[in-house]
Amino acid sequence: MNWVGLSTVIHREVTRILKVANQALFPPVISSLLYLAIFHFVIGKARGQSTEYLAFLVPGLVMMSVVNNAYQNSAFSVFIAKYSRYLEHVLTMPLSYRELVLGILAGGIVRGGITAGSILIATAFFVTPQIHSIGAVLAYFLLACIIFGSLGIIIALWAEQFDHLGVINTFVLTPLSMLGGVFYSISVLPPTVQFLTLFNPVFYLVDGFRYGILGSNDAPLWLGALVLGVLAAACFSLTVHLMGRGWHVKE
Amino acid sequence: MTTTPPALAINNLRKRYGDVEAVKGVSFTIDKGDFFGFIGPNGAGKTTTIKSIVGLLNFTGTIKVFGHDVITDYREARRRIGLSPQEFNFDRFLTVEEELSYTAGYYGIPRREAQRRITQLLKRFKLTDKRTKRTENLSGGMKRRAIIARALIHEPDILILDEPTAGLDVELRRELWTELSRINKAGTTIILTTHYIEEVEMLCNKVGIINKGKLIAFDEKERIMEELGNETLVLHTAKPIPKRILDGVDAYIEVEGKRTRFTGKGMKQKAKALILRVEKSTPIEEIDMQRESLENIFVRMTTEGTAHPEGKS
Repeated sequence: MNWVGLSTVIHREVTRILKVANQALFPPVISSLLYLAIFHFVIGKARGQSTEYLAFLVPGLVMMSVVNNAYQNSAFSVFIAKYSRYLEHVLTMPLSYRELVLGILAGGIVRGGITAGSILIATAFFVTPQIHSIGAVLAYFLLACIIFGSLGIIIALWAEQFDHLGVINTFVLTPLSMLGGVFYSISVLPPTVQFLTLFNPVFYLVDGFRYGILGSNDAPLWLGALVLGVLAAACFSLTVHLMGRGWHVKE
Repeated sequence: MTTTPPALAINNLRKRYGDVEAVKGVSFTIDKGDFFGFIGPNGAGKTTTIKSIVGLLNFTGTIKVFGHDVITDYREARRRIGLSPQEFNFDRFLTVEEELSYTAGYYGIPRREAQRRITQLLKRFKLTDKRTKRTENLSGGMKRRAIIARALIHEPDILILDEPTAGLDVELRRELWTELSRINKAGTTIILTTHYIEEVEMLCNKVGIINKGKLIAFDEKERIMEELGNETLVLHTAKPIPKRILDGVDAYIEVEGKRTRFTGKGMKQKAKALILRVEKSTPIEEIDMQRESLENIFVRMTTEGTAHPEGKS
């Protein structure tokens, strides 16, 4: 293991994030607060169930932002490196492809952590802060970062222009997040839609993270852990494989 | 008894881009300490070969760097290689110092040692006052120096330079030649691709000529120049040499008034007899012996259908 090499990749990623920390910090906090405000002052009060619903909403909003930030961080980092040919330089270094992918994912974890922490702090003004299981919170947070950080790397390797990164955001991440139980419990859905939701990985992330915060969940925890564990291992292995092949980088 | 593996051993390297086979079964070996000039026209396969060595291309065949396969044992192979690529591939957001520092880190060099080497390299490549400047804001010459400094940060056993002097002015080029000679004399094997053949003639001890994906010449530079190069005997005479004297001489002959050039292989050995033959009819005022330049040999070998020994058609 090239520990100095790995820590260098992480250092570069984290330094890059800190240079644009406002992008990791402010947009997710602002959008989460806007969601809370709308649900609290407009919808919630009208329906007389505000506080309980806000507490339900917070973990979903955090997870939605973590998913987005993990994806965007690795997608942009790798795409910019590919675009400027710096990725070619890194690919000639004595780093294993696993070390390289781990280093990039670590960047997504840091950015996701900044995002999650700042949303939790900001929403504490509306909702009493609580953590039911710190282990579950960390586990689902890491799974989200691995799965969607890996996806970001894969898309960046494949992408030929910046627009391609956004396409996945619009057509994959947003629908998966919106339909992943961030805003509702799937128990209110018709059985068919409920069944279809079980194929959405974001649902398990939200559900598991919500368990970590509130102690309540929709689907069996073992099922979510199994699906996400397998998916994270598959995404990570595929990313390492594609990085090694130099997919869309090496001719 | 252990034998040191060659610095670079390429065996049957092939690379295809779609329907075009860019490199068609190239094999050669470079020994430790060699300064190898790898020359060929544009698109001949030089950069493809180099990209294969450093792991930026998928290819067939085998490449070993100091005995380490560049595919199966890529980390060990890469530890020994320093690369200055043809196109700059800096992280445009980093300063010169950061660029070197991160590269040192990727090679696993601890921070303090890296800092010592960076200070030395910046000084050696006259970049000390530019160390906090972003690489994208450097001039072409400075970028080239920075990328070579970056290639040397881990003190590689083999330094690969793909067109390092392209776009440099004469002074910078000469400075770089001096630096490269020093690096080679200190024991680093160097592989150099260039369009300036004079560079190879001056710096290298071994030469490979690649054309249309095939290695058409590979040897010690001196042997290439001796075996493939022509020699020219130039005689300045008091009056033009009569045609009957020139008839039957085994050489390519050019007559320009009182100056006659005899070009061919082994002209040095034939010169004495030829001079005696000419002197019988015409007094000789001046004798000159010229060796064909590597550039001429290169042009002749890479230009199709050229029968003229000097590469002129």
